[in-house]
Amino acid sequence: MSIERLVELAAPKPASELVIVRFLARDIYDIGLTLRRTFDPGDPPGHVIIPELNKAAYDVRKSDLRPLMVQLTLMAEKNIVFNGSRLDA
Amino acid sequence: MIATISPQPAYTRTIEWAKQTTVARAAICQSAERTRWSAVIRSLLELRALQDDWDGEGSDAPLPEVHESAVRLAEFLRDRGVEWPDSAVASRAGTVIFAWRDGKLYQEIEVVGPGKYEWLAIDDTGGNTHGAFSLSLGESNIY
Repeated sequence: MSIERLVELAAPKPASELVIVRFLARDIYDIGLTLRRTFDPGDPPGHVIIPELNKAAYDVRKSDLRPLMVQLTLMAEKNIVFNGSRLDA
Repeated sequence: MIATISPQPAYTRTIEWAKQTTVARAAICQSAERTRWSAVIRSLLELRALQDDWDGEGSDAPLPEVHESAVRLAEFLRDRGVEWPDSAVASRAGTVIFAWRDGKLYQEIEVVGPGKYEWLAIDDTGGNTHGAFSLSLGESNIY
């Protein structure tokens, strides 16, 4: 799926508020997280979630999950393919 | 590993923790640093406008008392020469997170409630330590 299509699918959220990153599924599994396919209407093709990262789990296992979230963020920073905040730059 | 800070006076604990980490990369807060902290505090003040579901993903907005504690913490760290954070943002859980990066080192303080803080440090091996502390900082001058 193209980046342009992903931006379209995020509407009505403006592109200027979007950051799109590209992960390898392997890298997510390598840090101890998993991926689960979703089939909700309106989801883009191939949509997945990281089931470990949800608010209920976070409230209970924050000390375990917070480092993983940070690690995910650090990985994401290296793989940004679209940064809407720079559209006006 | 959970590293709860030992029962020293809250003020001392925080300063000691800051000194022992790269958060305290700049020991003296120069005028330029104060300017950077001012920018951080301005961005924190902007968070007051957030409402629940501010990201369209159902995230909680920081409660006013959490927000005030975040502003007060920023003033507290600034006044003691701690280097400004790389980011200070609202989290999905209605908390405010200050984060510092130094190469592969990552440190954060999360304001989780009025005067309630949690910290996390991740080293260059990916290992982490974390803990929590309480700190009574009084009222902000600008809040």
